[in-house]
Amino acid sequence: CQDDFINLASISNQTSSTFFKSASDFQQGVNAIYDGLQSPQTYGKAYYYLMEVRSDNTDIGDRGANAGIASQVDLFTEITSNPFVLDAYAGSYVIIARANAVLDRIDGATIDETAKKQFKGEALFLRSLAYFNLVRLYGKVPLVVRTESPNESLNARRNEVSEIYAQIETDLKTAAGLLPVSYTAATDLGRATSGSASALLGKVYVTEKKWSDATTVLKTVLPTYSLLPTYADLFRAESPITAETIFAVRFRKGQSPSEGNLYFNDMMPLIYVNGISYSGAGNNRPTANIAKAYEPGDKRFAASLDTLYNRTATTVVKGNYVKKYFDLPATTGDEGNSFPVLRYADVLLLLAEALNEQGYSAATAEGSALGYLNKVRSRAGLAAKTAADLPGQEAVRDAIFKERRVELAFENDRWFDLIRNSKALPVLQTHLATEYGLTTPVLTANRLLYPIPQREIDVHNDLTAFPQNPGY
Amino acid sequence: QDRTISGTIRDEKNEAIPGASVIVKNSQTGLTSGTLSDATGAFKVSNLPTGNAFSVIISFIGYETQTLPNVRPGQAPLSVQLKESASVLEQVVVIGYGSQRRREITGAIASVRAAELKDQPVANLEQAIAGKLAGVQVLQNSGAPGGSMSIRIRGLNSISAGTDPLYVIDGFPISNDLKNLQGSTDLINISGISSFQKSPNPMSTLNPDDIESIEVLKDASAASIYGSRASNGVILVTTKRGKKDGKPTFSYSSYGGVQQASHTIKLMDAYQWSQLVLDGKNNAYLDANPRASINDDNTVRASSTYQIPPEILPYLAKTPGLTTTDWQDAIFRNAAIQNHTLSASGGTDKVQYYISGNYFDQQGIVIASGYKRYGVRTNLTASLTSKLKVGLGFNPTVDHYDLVNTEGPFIYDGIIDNALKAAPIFPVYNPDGSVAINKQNAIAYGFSGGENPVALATQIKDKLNHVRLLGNIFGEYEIINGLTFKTYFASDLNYFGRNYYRPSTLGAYRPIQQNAPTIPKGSAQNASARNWLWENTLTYAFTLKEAHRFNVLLGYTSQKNRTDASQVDGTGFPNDAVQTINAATITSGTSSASEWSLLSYLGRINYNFSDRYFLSASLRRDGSSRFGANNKWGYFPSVSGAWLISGENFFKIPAITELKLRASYGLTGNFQIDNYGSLDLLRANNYILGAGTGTTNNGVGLSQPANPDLTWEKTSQFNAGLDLGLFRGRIYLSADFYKSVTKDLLLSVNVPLSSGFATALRNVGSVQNTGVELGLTTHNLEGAFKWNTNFNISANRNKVLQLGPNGAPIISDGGVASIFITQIGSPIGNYYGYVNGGVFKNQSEIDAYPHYATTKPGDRKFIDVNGDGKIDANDRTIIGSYFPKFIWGLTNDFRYKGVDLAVSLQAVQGSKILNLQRRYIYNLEGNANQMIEALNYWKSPTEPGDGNTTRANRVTNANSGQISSFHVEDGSYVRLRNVTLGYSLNRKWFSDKISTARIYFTAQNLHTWTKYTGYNPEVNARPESPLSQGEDYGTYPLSRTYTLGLNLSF
Repeated sequence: CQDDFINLASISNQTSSTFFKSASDFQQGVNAIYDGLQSPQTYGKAYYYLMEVRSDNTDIGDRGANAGIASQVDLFTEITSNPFVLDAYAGSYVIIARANAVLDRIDGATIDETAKKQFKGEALFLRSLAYFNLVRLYGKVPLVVRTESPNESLNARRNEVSEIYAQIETDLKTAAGLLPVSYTAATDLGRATSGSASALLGKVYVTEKKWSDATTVLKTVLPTYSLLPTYADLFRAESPITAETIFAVRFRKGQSPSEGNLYFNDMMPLIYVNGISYSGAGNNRPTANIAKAYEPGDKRFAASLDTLYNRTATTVVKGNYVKKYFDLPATTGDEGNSFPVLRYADVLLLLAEALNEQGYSAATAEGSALGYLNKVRSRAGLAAKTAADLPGQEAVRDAIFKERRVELAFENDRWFDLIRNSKALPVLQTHLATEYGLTTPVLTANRLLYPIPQREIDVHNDLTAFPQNPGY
Repeated sequence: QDRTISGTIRDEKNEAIPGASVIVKNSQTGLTSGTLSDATGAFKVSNLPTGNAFSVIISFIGYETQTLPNVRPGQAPLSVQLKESASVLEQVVVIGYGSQRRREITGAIASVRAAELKDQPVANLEQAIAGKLAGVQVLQNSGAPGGSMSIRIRGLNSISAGTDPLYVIDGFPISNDLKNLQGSTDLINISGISSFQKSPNPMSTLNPDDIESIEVLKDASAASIYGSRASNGVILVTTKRGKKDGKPTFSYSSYGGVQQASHTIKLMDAYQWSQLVLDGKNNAYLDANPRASINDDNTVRASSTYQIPPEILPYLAKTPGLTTTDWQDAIFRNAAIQNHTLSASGGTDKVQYYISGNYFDQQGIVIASGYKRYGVRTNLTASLTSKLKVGLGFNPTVDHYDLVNTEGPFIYDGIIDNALKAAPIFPVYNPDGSVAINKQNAIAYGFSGGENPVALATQIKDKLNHVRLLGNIFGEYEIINGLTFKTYFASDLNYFGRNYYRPSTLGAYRPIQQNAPTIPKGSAQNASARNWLWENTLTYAFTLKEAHRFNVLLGYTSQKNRTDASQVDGTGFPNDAVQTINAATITSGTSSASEWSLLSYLGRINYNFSDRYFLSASLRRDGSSRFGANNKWGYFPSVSGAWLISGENFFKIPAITELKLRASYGLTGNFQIDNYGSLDLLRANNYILGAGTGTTNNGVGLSQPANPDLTWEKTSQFNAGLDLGLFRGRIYLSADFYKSVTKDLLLSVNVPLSSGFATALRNVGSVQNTGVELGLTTHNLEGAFKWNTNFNISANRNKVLQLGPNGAPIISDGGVASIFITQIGSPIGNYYGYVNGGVFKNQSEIDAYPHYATTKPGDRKFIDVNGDGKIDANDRTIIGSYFPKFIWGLTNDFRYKGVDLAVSLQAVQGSKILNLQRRYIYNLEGNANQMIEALNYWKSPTEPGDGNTTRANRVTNANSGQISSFHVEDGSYVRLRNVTLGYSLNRKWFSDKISTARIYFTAQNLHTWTKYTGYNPEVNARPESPLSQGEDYGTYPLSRTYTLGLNLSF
């Protein structure tokens, strides 16, 4: 009786030790992993600062805003306590921890085997996605594959990049075997599929320059997906999952609690639409340089960005903004565009790259590097490239690199493409000089990796066992 | 033969004194026997040996002890009249679960009596005791009516658990949960916004006029009887009760007056500011485009960041007579305050009563803010038989707050921040008299972006009602002489209701910056709290062999608290006509509930030998729902002793009328953490899936890691004290030294993010507080002209002894991330940042010192603290602490015939404030108005300004604005807290029909001497968070109050 009086269960929250039992419990646990992708620490905001604003694709509207933290990322002057650097790191590990919470228990769970396979596959895929982003942004990071108590995590060390890639590869292979090719229930649309896992694995291989492995796995994705005829249809808030979508981060406006994002608020300038004047921060703003990167007649231009906008009902002013995420906010201020993570066109271009890196081919048929490239180009209304246009491996490499920039603009690929192609230093140095007049070299090679957040260095408090990245 | 000694004990008014101690001592044998007087004051000691002479010693709390020599059994009954003791030693002091004569006190207890509290136009008891007690620091974090107060007793024992003392009102420990139930003004559905509005103070429901005494239990021995809640000290509030003197007394006390902002910040006028805007735009433009010219026009400049706002051109041309708005003047006002308390008290032998009604109305000095209180109190005690007594305390109150979001940054509609930042070129009102809106939102040129603060204050409706019913009943039965059983039940029922509405007529900054009309938003928030306590105690007071007096207490208590909160948010209102949520087209809601419970056993023995030696030992065992399964129960023992040297026969120094030494040691705890802090709680993490726009799918993720070992913070404290009375009490000095160590700090520590969590609640680390306290009361002049002085001074040193498993410092966030550090060997919560080295005056200074790559002349110079030749995160260091070196208070009372004058000073010395307001109003960006000091900005190598103010720059360059010692200011102050001049009318003028008639004039917070440039050096943006204390991110200034008052009793 005494102990009853002081043993009070939580009224408004469940506890995890008593929670994971039924298939529905695990399903909810898995949904929470996906939820981590919506966070402003990840795809909701921080990622596109570190992956697009960082590159020559976009810049920011107000350099002074928020004490210049976005400007730091753009101008390669970020300090180790930069909030975007912190957020992306923290948000990625939230995804990982939620995945581990499911993975720790799923094998022992007494639930339907089909469901079990699916949940495990989803968790492995999502965890791999988080690690793939982490390892590309920060290099060596702690590899956590089961739930660690805060105490245990103090012993964490920065694992080698190769160990992290090895884990990602193993997990994605497992996930591809566990996940269904597609979901029968329409309500499951948007969950990771075996194609999501294979496409991500292919992208991982390309990043690692394992060209032949990449080719094999990427080809397995092809039969399930197809290019949408109209590029602009890829970015409609009302139908984010298309035949081309291999994986996307979903948002929806007008929900309570909010399931929307702040893309509109953050990316649009002062803009007048349908009688209402909206003002965003004007960040992730397309540069003049990317506006010029589109070939004449490229249908993707109008779907991706705009260079003019209405400041009032009658005045139209010059200024670039991203159009892929242009969905008017709901009354509650949230916006509903989803964020594409993996799509068929990306897979085609990755395949083209992997094939070309294994040897130049003049062939333009289906299944060749040029064939895949041209498939993407023709949807954009552009002429096919022939061996005459692209006479050697180097030329094909450049063409794919250019194509990826415009096809996948503002989809968080540019910064990594620059690094993979060893072009980050020269391209961005030029970009800094032409766009901002920064003439002395401000971009040094160490900045190809972000610093580990200062807070994490401070918590570990041991620069030998948990060092900062070089140059910070 | 009659072998009995008997008699009656009465006081000076001839009222019987029940329960007085009677010791009968055989003069020949030395044997003693004793008894207590009954309800009629009578006593009888029987079966005494005849022929012997006895001495009879009669004592009772609050009265002088009387010894009657040579009493013989059988003689006529004695008639003893006890004199109320004037001596400080005989004053009755309320302690936990009882009372004692001050003589018997062995711990460190400070008290304030009603007489010292009256005549101050204060809304709550905390304000009333500010500066009065040694070792008690009262912080008025906000000047808002009914606003946040915090009290710190003997430093800071905790890092992240609550730091509030335990408030015990008439024996009922109040729950701290009330602070979190008042709702917030967060805009709706915007994630990541914390509320900057500080909680109104729940203690403000208590009418200061009803308070009889306030006792502060400072040391662990006094407080440990309250166990797991006592380590921040305990404040015992005792309300007035009727006396047995039969005659009803009616009192009316009232005051009314006016308040005004005690300090405003001097800002630039529109002409000065326009020049700064121009310079800032030009510098930013040239920084970004080194080959450009400042003569480029707006079309060439292209970006609004660099474009010159046309509105400033007339100012730059020095056109005379243009609008130059003083926005502070626009939001502050002379505000009325009034208070009325009417009470009746009195009683008979059987029944005593105190009944009062109170009305308090305080307008805020910020327009549209205000606070009203309506309260009633009834305290009744009835002796049903000579053995059985019952009582009732009943205190319903209704508080109404007109809240204005004064405290936050402008982006969240913070009124004061907005008024400080607002561009002075815009008018408050349009020529037609309507409020000028959509001006600050001239987004095109990057002005502050907030809406007109006058419009925000007057058009946003934010009303909070607090209805409270605080009550208790008790029954007390005397089983045998001296042995009393008491059962006590108390409850505290609270209802909070808050309605918020933001109309369409205001421009908005969040979620998107836009001009009016905007989408209106509303919310309705309700919360209730139920707290009950049932307490059963047995006390046994007995005397052995005359000289050995014991008072034994045993008790068993249980307490439980439940809070329920719900909130409905709405938007999409068709217009502003109906502002309740039913009119909204889109609504959302949430509700939650939470509980805690506490089960306790307590025991205490007080031992008094010969009124000279005193010992006290207590033990409490607490079981709490808040702690981990492995650590639900804890023990809190204490022991203390005192020696009244001046009571010894050998002590013969006539000048010293009292000399007492005290020493104590005890253990207390702190349980102020979240109710379910030890559990691995899950929370909703929903996601969108499905065809089309999809639907929300429930997701559940871990929101906090489990910690089954979670337990109390434990504070052990040693206290040594000295009480010294000189010249018959003309000088009275009380000194204490203490040293306390708190272990197992409840700390939400930063943990590696790789765990998936940023922080986890754990028991780690320890902190030490060492201090001295000195209280001095002197009666300087007696006679027709009386002059009394009350002085107290205390110093506390806080030091962290141990932190986390690897001793890593805790770096915490404030208004800016990572600007506080708590590290071993230093006090809790230091400001952390770079050291300001002034401004680089020219290129050669830059070349000669480490700097950022982009640094240009006129940018801030930071000191290379570690001397490694570069400026980076490793150059951050401790740049100040909120802890004062010492605090003091001084009150002088003068009295001559009917005239009385009291002057109170209060001071804090050596504290530092992190003034984050400077990030906006001293940042030289020209998007906000600036402090007048910023005029001395760097203009060129030949016009370098004051050497500490950077160049004007719309885009701050080279981290010049990052947190450094530039933002840290000296927070020392001396405040003339209260000056009261009163005149008591001669009662003979009213033919004695009126016993007291006094009129008085009071000035509160008349002046503050300080170097601090913000509103109030008491500021603390996060009173609940010791790790990030002392920040000023916009605060409600303290008001200076002039009142005229009247006290009448008849």
